[in-house]
Amino acid sequence: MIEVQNLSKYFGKKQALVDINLRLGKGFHGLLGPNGSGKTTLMRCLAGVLRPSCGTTKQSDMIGYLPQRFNFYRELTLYETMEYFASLKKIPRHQQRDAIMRLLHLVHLDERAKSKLRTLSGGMIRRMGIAQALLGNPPLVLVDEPTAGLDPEERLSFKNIISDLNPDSCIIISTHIVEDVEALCKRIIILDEGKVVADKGSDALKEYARGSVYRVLADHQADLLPPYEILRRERSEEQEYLRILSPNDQNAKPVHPTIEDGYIMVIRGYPPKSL
Amino acid sequence: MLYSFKVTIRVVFKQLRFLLPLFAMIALINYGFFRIYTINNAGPINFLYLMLPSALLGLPYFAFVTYELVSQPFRMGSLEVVQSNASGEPNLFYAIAGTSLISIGFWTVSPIGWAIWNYLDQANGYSPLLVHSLLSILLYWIGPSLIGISLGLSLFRSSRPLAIGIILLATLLSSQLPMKMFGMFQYGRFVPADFLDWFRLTVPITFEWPDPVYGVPMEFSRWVLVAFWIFALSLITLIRMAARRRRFWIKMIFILTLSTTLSLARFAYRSHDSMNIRDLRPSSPGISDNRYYAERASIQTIPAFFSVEAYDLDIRIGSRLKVTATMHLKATDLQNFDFTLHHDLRVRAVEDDQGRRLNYQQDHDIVSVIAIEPTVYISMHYDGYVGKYFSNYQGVTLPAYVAYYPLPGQLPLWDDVRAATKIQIPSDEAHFRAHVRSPLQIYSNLEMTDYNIFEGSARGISLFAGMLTETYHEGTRYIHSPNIVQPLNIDANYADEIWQKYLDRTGALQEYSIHGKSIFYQAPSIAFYASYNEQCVDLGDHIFALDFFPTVEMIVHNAFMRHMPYDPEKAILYELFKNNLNMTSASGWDVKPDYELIRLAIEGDQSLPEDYSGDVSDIDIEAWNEYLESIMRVDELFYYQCNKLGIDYVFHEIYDYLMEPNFDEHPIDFLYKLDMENTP
Repeated sequence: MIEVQNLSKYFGKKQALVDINLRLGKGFHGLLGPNGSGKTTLMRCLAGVLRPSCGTTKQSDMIGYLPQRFNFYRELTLYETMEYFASLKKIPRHQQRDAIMRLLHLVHLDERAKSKLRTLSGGMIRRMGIAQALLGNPPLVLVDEPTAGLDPEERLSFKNIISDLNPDSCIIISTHIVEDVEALCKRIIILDEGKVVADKGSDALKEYARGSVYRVLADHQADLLPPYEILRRERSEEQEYLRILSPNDQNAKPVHPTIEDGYIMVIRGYPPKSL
Repeated sequence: MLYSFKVTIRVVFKQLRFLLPLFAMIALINYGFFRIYTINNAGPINFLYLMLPSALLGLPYFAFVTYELVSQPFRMGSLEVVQSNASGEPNLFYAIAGTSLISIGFWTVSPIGWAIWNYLDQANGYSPLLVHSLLSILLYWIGPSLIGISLGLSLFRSSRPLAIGIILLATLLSSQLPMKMFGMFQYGRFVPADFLDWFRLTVPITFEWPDPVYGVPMEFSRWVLVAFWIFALSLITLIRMAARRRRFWIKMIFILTLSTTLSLARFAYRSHDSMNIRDLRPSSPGISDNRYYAERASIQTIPAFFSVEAYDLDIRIGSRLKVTATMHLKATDLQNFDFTLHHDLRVRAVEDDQGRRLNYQQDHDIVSVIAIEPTVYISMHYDGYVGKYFSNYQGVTLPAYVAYYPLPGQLPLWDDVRAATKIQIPSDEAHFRAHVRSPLQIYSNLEMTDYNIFEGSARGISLFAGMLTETYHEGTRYIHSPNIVQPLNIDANYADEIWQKYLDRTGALQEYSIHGKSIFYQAPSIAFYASYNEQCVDLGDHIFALDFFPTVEMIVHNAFMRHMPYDPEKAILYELFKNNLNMTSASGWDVKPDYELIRLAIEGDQSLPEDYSGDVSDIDIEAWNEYLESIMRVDELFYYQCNKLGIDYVFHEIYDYLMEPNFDEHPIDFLYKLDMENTP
């Protein structure tokens, strides 16, 4: 579906992407990384919006792309906007109406087809964005920070829509919020400082953190061996617990890791216990 | 592409913020045009002049609309989605440009309609005027709007405050305002006007001098300037767009870079092929002659030891003149020849009859040629322009006296004393054959033997073109512009009467007649910077008139004064003579002014103007007023003498005085003593 070889991107002297090599097939793929890690740059290169400084990408001609920010002429109706993007994708005119209405139904906007964009909420615009990206059933769909700026309800709705997408396409979801890809993506690529620092299945990423995640009483924090990182504080039965990540063995029983734990392990550069 | 176009059309025509200003602008200009049309009756060219400055509204409007259309997708992020589709981005940009072009269509309907109405109503179907009007609308109306679109497109990545700031700055620079404010200044070697000229896209404003012959200035370099800005801004847009797909755009960028560079170079090295009225830049053709001659020693007349029997002139008139002048000289044994040629024409080569290159030296207005052996044949190749007598694709003004072809001998082309063009035309006739290569129809004093080929014998050959036509009226041939109503009633018999009256009045003996002479009514653009003596010039077989409404009196008066020498020391009497030559009565002037009252004029005439030529703040206003008062007494003295001694007697005496070079008496003393009473 998409193959990236030795892709690098410079902005002046700053190297934003360093020798990226990827080969992605059908299904959902998560592209994780902290802010500034190069996710958006990589997505833009894959979408053809940016020209790589070196390296190649091989992909299909038709791409569905939802950038981080998306809106269009606010005076147009939702249907007119979709019609425009359908034309850009060279969908035959007689197929446009059905394709548009089907996608608007998918994103629960079919009843707002005649509404002008300026009357739609941020979440609706976002949903319209995914609808336009899916026009023409593109074999490659790139979704950049899909839930950024959405309220929890819209975020949930959006995630549900994403999960309903056709898994026969190669769908890459770029985000720094692990939760957004946790349930959906079987393969996670982690980018840090422009480099791919991990390319693993979601289970493998969880396993990467196995043995390194602990739950300890907050009162016992002083007994912990550094280095460790507090992932979050949890309260139960009037006791406060700390969920910590540590490459060292701690005097506590390890708990089941999550993808987020694996992600932080990778980003921090901690080695897995199993090795 | 088509759908991109539909989208942008929908966006523009659904938004009142875009439509209302356009409709308001159209309503406003139509109201203005209506007012100009009903109030102003100075003719179709003046109407054009007054109409075209409104076009400046188009630049900011179309720049802003285009910017808004093109920047919204960029600011909102959807441009990336467009870019991710092959050809999506250029299609959108083309669609936006196309939509703006449609708006330009609406914006341009009014001036075109008014121009057609003007042509039908005022110009009686004179088709060159219609062509001229449409071209001027294209240059000065549509041009700035197209630049506005290019500017708006090029700003697509800029923030709104920055874009609006740039659009306003561009509008200001392209208006007349900077030129009005800084046009006349020079700071060392830096001339602001030369810099500001790169941005001036509006028609030069002229209320007093609409030129019916040249029309609106549309010299070639103005078209180049508009093309340059469109190319340059489009290039910026493409470069900013092409950051991703350089290969895709490389050809377009190459073509645009080439076009931009060529037009930039062409405009930078533009010749002064036009004279915009009120163009007071130090280098403008209108005043370049004044500056040139002010810095150089005057040329002393040295008559040639040869004469030119025949000229064969091959003249190309584009944005500059390119001439090959072949001269057949009256048989001589000379090897050295001096010719007078206007200094702005640069000689490139001189050849003899065998095609051998001859040595030559061009200095000031003189070209000295050294032949290899005595010859009667010299061919000179030169090009350039002739100061204010600019000739280009729009109009040609080359009167015989401006030395646009070599005149034999060393002749001053400038009167240093009066800082004016000197009328130089040989007294002997020569045979001329001139082939003028110009898209314009040329009119000449000589007979046209084929299209733009003229042949005949005359003292000189004049060439004119522009919005001119030829009319015969009562045996006199008039070359005039149909764009203005001018009197075609120069009565040769009446001219004879006036001349005879002058002869009777002054005792002069010269003969003069305008019978059979062609009269050329010429471009006021030239007249604006013309010297005092160029308003009506008799050139033997034709008369060159720069005045809007020349009269028989004016022609004869000019002809009479031209044969009188001008001595600055006698200037006060010369002016009195000139200004009162037509006077009919001096009754009522019975009191002779006291000599003491005019003494200051005698003294001041020599000293005061010099004293007061410096800083104005140094002037002693009281002393100056006394001097002016004294000058007025001299006028009274003149009228008194006319009243007492008779007008003809006084003119007779003054004429003799002015014609006699050896009179050393002060002119006011001379005038005072005329009646032999109360002499000092």
